[in-house]
Amino acid sequence: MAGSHPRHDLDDALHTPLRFSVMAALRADVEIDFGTLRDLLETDDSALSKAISTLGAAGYLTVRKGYVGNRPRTWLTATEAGAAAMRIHVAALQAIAAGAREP
Amino acid sequence: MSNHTSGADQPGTAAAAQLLEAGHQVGDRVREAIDARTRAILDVWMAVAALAYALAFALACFGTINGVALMPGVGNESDSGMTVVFLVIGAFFAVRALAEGLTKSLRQPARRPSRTSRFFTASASALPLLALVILAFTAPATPWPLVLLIAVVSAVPMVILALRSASRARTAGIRRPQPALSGLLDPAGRAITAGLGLALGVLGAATGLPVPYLGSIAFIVFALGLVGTQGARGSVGAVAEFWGRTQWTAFGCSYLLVLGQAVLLARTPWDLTVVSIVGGVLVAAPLVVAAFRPAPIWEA
Repeated sequence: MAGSHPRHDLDDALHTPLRFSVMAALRADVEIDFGTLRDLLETDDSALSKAISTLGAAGYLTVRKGYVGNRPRTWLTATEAGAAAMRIHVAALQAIAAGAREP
Repeated sequence: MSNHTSGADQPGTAAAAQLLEAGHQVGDRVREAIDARTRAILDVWMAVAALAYALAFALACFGTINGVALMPGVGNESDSGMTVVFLVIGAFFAVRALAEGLTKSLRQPARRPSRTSRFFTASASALPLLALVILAFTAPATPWPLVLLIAVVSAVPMVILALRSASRARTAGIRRPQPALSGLLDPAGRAITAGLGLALGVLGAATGLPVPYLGSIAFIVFALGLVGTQGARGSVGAVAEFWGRTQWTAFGCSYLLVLGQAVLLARTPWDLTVVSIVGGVLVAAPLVVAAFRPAPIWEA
């Protein structure tokens, strides 16, 4: 049922704190290495891989394999759709959080 | 959209605020890493600029031509030697203004070098340069290997700083590929970019013209313009944040051309008026053209 409550704008793909944090870190004009993102978000390889799979399936990020020297690296970038979804989700969260300050 | 939550597990007000705060913190750390990379690139180019400056100063101010020292007040009565020094210094002032403007637009790193460390780096770079200036006035016929050594030593602290920054940025694992969007600078940005090119060109042209003190006056006006607008919205430093690769490359060309012109003016047997005017036009051209070329537009 559609309604005006901000919770209706929350996105399932961004629902877990880790997936939300991944999208908060990624941008459309920046590439972040998998290992750097893992350290930044203080998580482990397995949890981050799952989060990336879900977000990738939703079309919110792209994965690119590359090399720095001889070392393989996985680079992640937010897609335009991902950035837009994140903006809507953040606006919904802000509206929900603002509710706490209302009398 | 079908993937929107409608269940009972949606975040409460406190949880939403917590998520937003966590998101802000992650975003801040990413922006800090991006800025660290920009700072590293800036440090590398500052090291190159400092080395070029020291070498140009050495080439323009030391040695003798037909037994006459290049510096004024030593073996030459004209003021052209002095204005050549001003030309070299003026170009470096422009580099400093741009670098400071860009640095101000970056987030400060969590671990900043201590005040003592910054003092030692600045002193280690400035002292050899000061020695060069004193030697240029008192002993312009100083042997070339010694002059070259002092010039290179003055750039060493900047090179070490640049290597450290580059090493830190390389391990950061965050990088910016080509920007998706680009566009012209705003009108003020275009005016300042073209104005800087023209000012450097005029400074270069005024240096070798046979008009007494013209080069000195041009330098004073140029330096006052840079210092007077420092920190203002219409300053040279303010536009640095919005420059892209095209504008920085153009400035690099103009900078090297100014230094080359200074050396040429000091050492050439050619007609100085021609060298000044042609040099001034060549110096101004890259930045004037680059002012009207697109610059990248990055995500806020």
